Amino acid sequence: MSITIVTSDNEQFCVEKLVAQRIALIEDMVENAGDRPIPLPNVTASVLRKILEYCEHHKNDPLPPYDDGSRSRTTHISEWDQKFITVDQEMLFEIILAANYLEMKPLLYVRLNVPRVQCLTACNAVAGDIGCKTVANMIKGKSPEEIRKLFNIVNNFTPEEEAQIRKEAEWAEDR
Amino acid sequence: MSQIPELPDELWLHILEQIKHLESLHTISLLNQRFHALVQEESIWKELCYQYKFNKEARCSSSTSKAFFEALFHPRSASVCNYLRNSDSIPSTCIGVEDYNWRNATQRRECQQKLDVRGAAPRIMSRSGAWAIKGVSAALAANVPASINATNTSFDGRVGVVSSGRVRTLSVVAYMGSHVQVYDLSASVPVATYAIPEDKVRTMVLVLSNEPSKETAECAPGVRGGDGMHIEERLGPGVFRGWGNKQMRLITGGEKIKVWRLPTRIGEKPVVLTPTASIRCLTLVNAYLVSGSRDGSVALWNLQTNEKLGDLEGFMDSVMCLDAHRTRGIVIGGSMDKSAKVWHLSTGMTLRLLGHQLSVHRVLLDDHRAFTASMDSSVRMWDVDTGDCMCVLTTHRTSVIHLGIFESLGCMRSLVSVCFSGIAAVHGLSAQSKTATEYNDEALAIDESIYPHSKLVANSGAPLPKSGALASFASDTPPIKSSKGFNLHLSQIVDVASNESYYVVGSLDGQISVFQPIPIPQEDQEPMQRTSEPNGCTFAGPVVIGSSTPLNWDDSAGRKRNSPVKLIRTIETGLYALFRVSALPNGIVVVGTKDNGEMVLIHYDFTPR
Repeated sequence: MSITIVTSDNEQFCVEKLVAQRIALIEDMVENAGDRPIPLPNVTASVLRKILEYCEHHKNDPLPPYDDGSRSRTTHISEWDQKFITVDQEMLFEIILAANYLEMKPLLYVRLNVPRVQCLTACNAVAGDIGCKTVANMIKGKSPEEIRKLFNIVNNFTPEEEAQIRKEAEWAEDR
Repeated sequence: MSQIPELPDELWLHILEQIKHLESLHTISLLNQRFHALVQEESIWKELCYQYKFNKEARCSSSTSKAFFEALFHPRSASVCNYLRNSDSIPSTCIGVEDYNWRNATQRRECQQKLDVRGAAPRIMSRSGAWAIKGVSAALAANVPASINATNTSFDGRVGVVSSGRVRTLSVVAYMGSHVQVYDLSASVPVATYAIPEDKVRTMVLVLSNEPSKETAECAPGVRGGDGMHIEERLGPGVFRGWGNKQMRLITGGEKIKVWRLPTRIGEKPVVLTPTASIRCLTLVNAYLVSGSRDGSVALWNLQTNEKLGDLEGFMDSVMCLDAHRTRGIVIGGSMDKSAKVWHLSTGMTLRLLGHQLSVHRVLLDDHRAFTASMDSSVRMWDVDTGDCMCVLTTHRTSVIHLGIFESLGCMRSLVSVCFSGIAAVHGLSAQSKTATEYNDEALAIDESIYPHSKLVANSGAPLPKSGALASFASDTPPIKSSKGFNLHLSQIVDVASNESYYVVGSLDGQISVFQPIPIPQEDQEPMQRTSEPNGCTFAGPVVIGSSTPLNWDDSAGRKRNSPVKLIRTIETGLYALFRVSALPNGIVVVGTKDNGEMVLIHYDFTPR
């Protein structure tokens, strides 16, 4: 059984149901839509193709478990995922945005383990995601100026403010 | 590199949470004002707390945590302190500073004072992370009637919640994809979390503790299993007595059926029942559990021994829905294979209900009648005892997705069906007549072109004191063509809930409106059971809670009708959107919503001031 998805640039994708079920938003819509094609007004064809590639590869993986035990917090990205995410920055950001829109937990969030008590009170296991992790790794070890250049960030601090923050943040130096 | 899309704060936050490195975070706070603010976010510091092992297992012994500890009490690290203070997971002893203890206690007192404030002050009960809240339901233990109070809160299943004395006075069950949580509202913490790893919860049933043993005894368990064995032989007489007297059980259906005891002790595992294929629907009949699977099989389970009693005659394709008449031992099921079946457990008789052109989405038992709603856009009424099709209702033009029966004072029982495009039709039902009178009020028709989102709520507990039960449904605004009122909500209405005295409507615009039924004056009451009026019966019961209020419209006979509800309160939650609402008898509404990208449950007190 397959599902038809229409992207923002009006391209139609015929997707195997098992693959489409990795995408929470589509799965929800399928239940309501019947045989009609599913419109995705926020996703372009090139990004969807990439995301479906991910779904196709991971279609048989178990969904990330809700766990309450030991905590393993690696920033490890599997080899395939690593290759998958080796894209230009524009595409990387597009994937992060689209995965967020599509509520693709496995692609966006890899659930982290939390101690049990924490589970009960906060259940706030936020996650490392392949895209976000990649961006995080890009940031690490760079100077502010390098990061600004990398992500087109405009510095809107006055020199006084900047000096003040530098001073305030002295604690952050790792000892 | 010119066209980098702008990420929202929410996503940047996720990225920053990955960094977990003080120096890098410091660098980021130097980027610009936006990032400076982002770095102060609590969630980032929480990640750091874990990174530096500020938790129960690892006390602050390592050198990294010492450095972190010093950072902790720096004036700039208010975010860390905030996090630690609010978090029960990090005991103060592991930090080992009296100052922290003091702050903790003060903070706690402040919190408690805040919580005691009456009114619509929200309380966040849980942050449940990445999982969507699929359904929320709640009940007050003390006021729970003996009958199970279940509402269809989500498209995929039934969520019913009732709590027993041993659970706290107030509890709510939320059902979120792969885990289920039970909350104690008075303490604002989940009482229990049931993780169902790699098993998506599709449906769940709550088994009440205070089962009326009288009723169950009436139905002699002469059930004939699929293997031809009499269940009577396995169950001695009086087997229902004493069963479940002390507790409540929660049964979830996914790949497996899991039976959880409520409250659960830590480490206690559920009883796992293995069906032949993944579960699509569950229902209870007496002390038996009936499960419908994807492969079309319908199995009967004994909840006392947690054994499979046998299979009922199944379907050719996935079972979509089940309903049961608890006291008469009748089960009805609908399937993708376009048929429905009625099983009389006491006699072992199976009736096949054939006639639908497409899969059956909903089934409903009403005493001696059964209703089936199908994708072929028709609703059929059947005689439960003979299996004859009594009539076909063809009001709808798209798949019928909800069915409900409502009884209101001063009018006949009515069947409400809602189709995929959001149109609700009301059909009068008389006790004697073999056909349903079709009553298709224009006021109940929604503009088909808008959202295919609809919701039916029945007041399934005690009937409303004066005005009778109400049917309401939500969809896009404005639902009423003839209404000259104003639009109540700015955005789509997502959920409607009811309890004994109020109706609560939640909308995507972040507002909750609370309605109260108005008693119908005696002279306005329609005569009972005006069955055979040619152009349909008149009724005062079902109303639309959708856009404006008070709702007035002209009925088919041109008479002015007044809505039997009035708006008593609008709560501005300030939240981006509400996804689910559930009403508690004591005037508390529980809301499932998204806050800062996380699914949360919040409850509000909506008692009229």
